[in-house]
Amino acid sequence: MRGQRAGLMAWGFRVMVVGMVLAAPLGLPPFYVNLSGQVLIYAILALSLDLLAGVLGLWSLGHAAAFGVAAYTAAFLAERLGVSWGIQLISGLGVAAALGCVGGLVVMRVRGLYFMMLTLGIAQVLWALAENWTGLTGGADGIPGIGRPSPFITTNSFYVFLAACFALNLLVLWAIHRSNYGLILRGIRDNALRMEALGVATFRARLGAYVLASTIGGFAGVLFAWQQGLVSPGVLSVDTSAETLLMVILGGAGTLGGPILGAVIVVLLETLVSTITARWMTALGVCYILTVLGAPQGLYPVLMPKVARVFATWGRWFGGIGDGKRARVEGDSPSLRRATHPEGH
Amino acid sequence: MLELEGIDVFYGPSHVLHALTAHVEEGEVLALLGRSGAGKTTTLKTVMGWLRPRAGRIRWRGQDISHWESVRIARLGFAMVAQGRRVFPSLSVAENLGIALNPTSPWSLEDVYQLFPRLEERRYQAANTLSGGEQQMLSLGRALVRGPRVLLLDEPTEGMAPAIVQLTHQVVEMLREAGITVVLVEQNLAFALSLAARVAVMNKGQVVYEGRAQEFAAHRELQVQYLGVSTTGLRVGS
Repeated sequence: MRGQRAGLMAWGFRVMVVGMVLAAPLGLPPFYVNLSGQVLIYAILALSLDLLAGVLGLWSLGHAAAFGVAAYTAAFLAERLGVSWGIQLISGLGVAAALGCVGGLVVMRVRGLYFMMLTLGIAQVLWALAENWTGLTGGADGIPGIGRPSPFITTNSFYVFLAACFALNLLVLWAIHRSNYGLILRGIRDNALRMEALGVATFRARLGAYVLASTIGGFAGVLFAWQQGLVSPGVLSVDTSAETLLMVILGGAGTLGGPILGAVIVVLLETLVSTITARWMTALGVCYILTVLGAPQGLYPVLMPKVARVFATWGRWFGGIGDGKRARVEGDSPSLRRATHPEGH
Repeated sequence: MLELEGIDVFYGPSHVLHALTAHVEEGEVLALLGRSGAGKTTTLKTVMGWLRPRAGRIRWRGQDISHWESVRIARLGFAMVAQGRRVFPSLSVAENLGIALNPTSPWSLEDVYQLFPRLEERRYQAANTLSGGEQQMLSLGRALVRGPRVLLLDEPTEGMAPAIVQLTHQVVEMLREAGITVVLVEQNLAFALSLAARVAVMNKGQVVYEGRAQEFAAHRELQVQYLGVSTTGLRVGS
């Protein structure tokens, strides 16, 4: 089967490229390895937010809520109760999913500005709790002294662990983008009423996406707690939410490559520019404004065709990784049938 | 049979449908006519469950569906092709068709591509980059692969070029021959009368005339009385 072999080769190529890019920082000094790890964590967070912002068209201003709550859960369990890292991870994800479930029941009833205000409100309430409930959260000092998961203690080994988590997460999101569920979410963004006329229970589909985004955001939060060894109210602040949103906007919403590129740019700029000048916020602001004016769709959709042109063949394989918009639906698909015709019609 | 019995629908305080009563036989094409503002679109939306009747009953095969969620009504096999832009703009042509695809439909994707080769050429193109006529082809293709039991068509020929009107005519004929129940809201009287078995004329939220399409087509005075227009001098779309 020639087609199958070509498909396998394309996959092999993708895995190789992603693997090489992820492995590259291992040769660098520890500071840069840590920085790269931070990029990966924020990339996971930005990808999870993009599920709402890019795929579903709902711009959350409170995505830090999922991130922070999971980080605090892992930190509390690690530092106060000393449970194993597996339990920390599962509890972190569980709490983020529960928050997504309860919060989603409220915020998924509204859209647009109201959605932004409600998500912001929830995150701010949690931030205030973290800041003031000193007994539980350590207040402004946060919870220090969180250990890393046991075999991955050193800088390099923990980075490998992060890279594996990132790759897993990328695979999951790629599958969602390509799936009929992803298609249904984009259909809801375009026209929810028309989607209901096709027999899709849109509220349930949207709630599912919110829980999913929350859970993956929580995953990033747990990884963050481990990497930093300290969780403070900053993880729940509006700064974190806004920064994540900027990554998505800067990189390009609705694609897989966009939020990753956004995370790379924002984290690197923040870290590197702040070592050069104390006015780094100004420099960043100018960068953002220029990007939004020059490439309102985000940098990834603008840069990708150019990269693809340079590596003509490589680019074709690359394109398949990134852009959910080009997902192909052909022929009959059992999962779509189940989704739209559960009563056997 | 789809029966509407004494339906009252309000938009806020304004009373739009007044004890509307009508019925559609299974497998027939019913033309729902009337001047603009008569409540034709409102009637379709009410059947789809997008609007709630404050009084009256909607029955499908004897079952009361007046207060069902629209999702549930859609799953019964009801589909609506609404007025204006009828596609998912950011999805590709293939995705637009795939999302509506129903394996029990008499038509497959291949049938649609055969009927509209243009759609196959543009299968990976986003729907909002299609021309108006191509979007119409796409929405007709969606109606076919959806294979509904009851299709509600809201002014399918509005603003369409003659060639596209012809195609639309052909598709409604195909649906009719497959035994699909069609409720056709139309301003193009000649188009509607050439397809429908029966007509129902609405005025001010009520059905004021119901009868056979042939009879309505033959009597100019009926057309003038209820619509203020007639088919004299108009050419049928096929």
